[in-house]
Amino acid sequence: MGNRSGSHAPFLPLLHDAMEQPGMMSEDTLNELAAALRIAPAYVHQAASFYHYSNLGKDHLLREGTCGGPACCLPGVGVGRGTPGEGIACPGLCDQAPASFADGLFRGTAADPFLPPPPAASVDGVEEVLFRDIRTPGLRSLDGYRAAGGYAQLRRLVETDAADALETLRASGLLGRGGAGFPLAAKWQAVRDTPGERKYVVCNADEGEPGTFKDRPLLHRNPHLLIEAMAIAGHIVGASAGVIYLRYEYPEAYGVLNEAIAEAEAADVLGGFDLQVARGLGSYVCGEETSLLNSLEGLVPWPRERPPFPTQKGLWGLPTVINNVETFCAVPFILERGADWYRSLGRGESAGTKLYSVSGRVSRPGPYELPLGATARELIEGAGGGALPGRTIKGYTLGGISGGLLAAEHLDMPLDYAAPRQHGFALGSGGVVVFDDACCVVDLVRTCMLFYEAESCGKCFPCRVGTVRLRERLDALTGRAEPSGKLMDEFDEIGSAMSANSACGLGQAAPLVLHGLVRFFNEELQAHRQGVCPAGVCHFL
Amino acid sequence: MSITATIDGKSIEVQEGESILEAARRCGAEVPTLCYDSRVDPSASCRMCVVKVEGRRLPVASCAHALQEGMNVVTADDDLEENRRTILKLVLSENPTEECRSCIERGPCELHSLAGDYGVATDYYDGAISGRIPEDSNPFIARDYSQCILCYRCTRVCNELEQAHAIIPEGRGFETNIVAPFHESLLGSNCTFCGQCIQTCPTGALMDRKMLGKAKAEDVTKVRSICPFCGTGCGIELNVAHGEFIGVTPDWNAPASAGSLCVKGQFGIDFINSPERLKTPLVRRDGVLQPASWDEALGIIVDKFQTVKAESGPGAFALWSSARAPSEGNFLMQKLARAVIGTNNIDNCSRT
Repeated sequence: MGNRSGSHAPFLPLLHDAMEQPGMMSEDTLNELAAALRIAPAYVHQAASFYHYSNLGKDHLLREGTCGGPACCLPGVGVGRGTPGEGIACPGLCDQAPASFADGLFRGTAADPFLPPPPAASVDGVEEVLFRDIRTPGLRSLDGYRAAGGYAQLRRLVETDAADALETLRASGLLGRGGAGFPLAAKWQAVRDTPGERKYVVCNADEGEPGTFKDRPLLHRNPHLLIEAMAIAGHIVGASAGVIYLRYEYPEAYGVLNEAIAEAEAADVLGGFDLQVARGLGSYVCGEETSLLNSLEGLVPWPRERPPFPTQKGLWGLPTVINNVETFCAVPFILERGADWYRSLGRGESAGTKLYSVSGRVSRPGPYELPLGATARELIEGAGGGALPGRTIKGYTLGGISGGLLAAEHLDMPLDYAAPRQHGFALGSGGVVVFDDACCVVDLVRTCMLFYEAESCGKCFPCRVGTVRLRERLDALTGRAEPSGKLMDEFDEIGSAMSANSACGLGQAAPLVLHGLVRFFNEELQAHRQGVCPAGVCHFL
Repeated sequence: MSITATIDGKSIEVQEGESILEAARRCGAEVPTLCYDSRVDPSASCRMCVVKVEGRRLPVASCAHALQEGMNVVTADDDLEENRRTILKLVLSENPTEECRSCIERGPCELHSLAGDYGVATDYYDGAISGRIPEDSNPFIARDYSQCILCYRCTRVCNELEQAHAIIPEGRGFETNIVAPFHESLLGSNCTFCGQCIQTCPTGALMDRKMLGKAKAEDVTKVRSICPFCGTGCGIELNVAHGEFIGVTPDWNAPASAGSLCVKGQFGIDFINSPERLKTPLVRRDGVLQPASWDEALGIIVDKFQTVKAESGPGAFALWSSARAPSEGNFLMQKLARAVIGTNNIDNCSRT
């Protein structure tokens, strides 16, 4: 096992090391790991047995599979109808569906899995920010990044007052892009104001939300942008160390980020900010910030109760800034061009741009940067190229899948933080999975529920059992099991208890797609109760 | 520092740091829980104890949050009760049972008591069941995880309170199981068989194997006592059925132990029923041990002590006190050595 004594969060690197050893996760290896971490072997066992891609507590190491995610399971794309246990969790290749996993690599239809093509240019006349330079060859090297103006903001910040920079960020109106939309400056201010000699900056690069793949191009093609942004955060809040929590499904980005950090350190551009990358092992719930922190600490990645918030007690109980990749990456641009400029890029009350992911049944799936508040129609019909030839769009999911589910009649809804709330929904990650008249919306919702069931951590009762019960009822509706008479009441009861009582966003959000189904596709739902699938996707017993 | 808050319309003053749950219960609110054991950190798993707090979008787990100054808490209304009922139906659907062995032998278990209170004892959902029964022949702890609701009380008590680190949740979500890492049976694991997992279990998943099948709850009388095995003085309840001792449960109100026991107190008391057990002092007469009265036995000891002391002096004595005696008993023993016999040759078996 390697020496990880300088690591800010040695558990995940040590677990990766252990998995590569002959015999892999034996009792001896586990004890060695626990000794290195100075915690009881039982805790290490609990944590290590949790992840998809660790083999502890399972019969074998997961070595291959096809994607069971919502975009890859749509008709005409990949495996079609998903079955429990068959598919791997969405690896964020929805724009290159179908995705599969073999030999440690996740591949879509792109020729080079190490460097998929850059995002397509957005709609004419739209000013890009995060994707401004992303098609520039050589951007991911230090020289390339500097040529695009990189590291200028960090350098300037060191010479000026960090409080001014924070004011600029506040005035820019930047909201956290991970899903919750919390004001960035308020979070950074809280960490800055919390006393403590040691603080952390953590980047949530665990982009696990199905139908969401907008951080991936930034990680692959512009790693120095994230590195500079995190160093800026460190300077503003008074943290000298940072960790990027990278999802297991982006192995290429692990190499890219480590190389870029080494290059930046060698050139001494980070001002002493010590940045490391920790690679996850496959778990959607680790995208929940407190689960992520537990994962880094080697604990089972169940969510923590809040308060205390990570700003007060984050990584190792220390004040911690934790933001999504996209949120961090907006910071250097705002400091470069100013708050007014950034704010003006959004529509209406919204500030700035948003990276949206569009996938499913559209002509040009991909990640696109649009003004925050652009309508679903602009994303789906404009950037995404609209319906497939001869097809009619029936609806779309929001927030990846965790923001809700809407019908074609809602295409003119702005994709901002406020508009989805009128339906009880949320913008979330900005991912949109489009389905058309060839798709069965009931089957799609069932695919989503299967995902939540597989990813539910098991900590809290409503989510652990509720996701299974809802999926079973969707099984019945889609012809996989005998239907039950009390279906609609049960949907209502279980969904309500999950939304209100679940311990974290996973269980709270899981019923939203079902709410969308019941509210906007009731005719199709009722037809299924009679044993008829209007799209001809479901086969009844 | 004390703070003032409102629970169900009543103003309450509590010490800062007290959980909403504890404060609410002191106010008389019946807040249901399944995963709560006050001796370990709350895990906020069952979500039965969630309450509404003014200003918070979603209900909060009252076990895991401290009451704050000015907080306005509602512990029960139609929404909260309906969602609690649904959670019970969910968790019962995972572990359906015709006959709960805990309810039959230990009295109503926490799960089925709540199920009765909420009127869902038989009205729950259909669906897959979870939990497996390990092949475990250990003589102390009967494990049937088909009745396990994954409240994690056993694993928290094992890891946090007893620090035995024998059992842990393994896996994720619905597939989570309680295991002894790398060992099917507890016999090969770190388990010390303190049995405290059994005592915190809110269902029939963990049972005292020695008591299993011995009696029905209504036939059992509990007699408060003190564990005789060491000087700690843990409180125990001797469970007696049909005039016979059948097993031990902890005395939760005992000041020295607050419900904790070790393997000896939990499982080692069955010597009570042994035919070889001494019930009176024995005195050897004509080479044979024969029952005697305490006065006779102590009289012989005093005579012999006085003889030895007269012949050889107090230095001929050495006294070992027992770890099974409490501190007061040990104090008296050294007093006997020094003040009565006149020797400093006094020690305790814990040191030898």
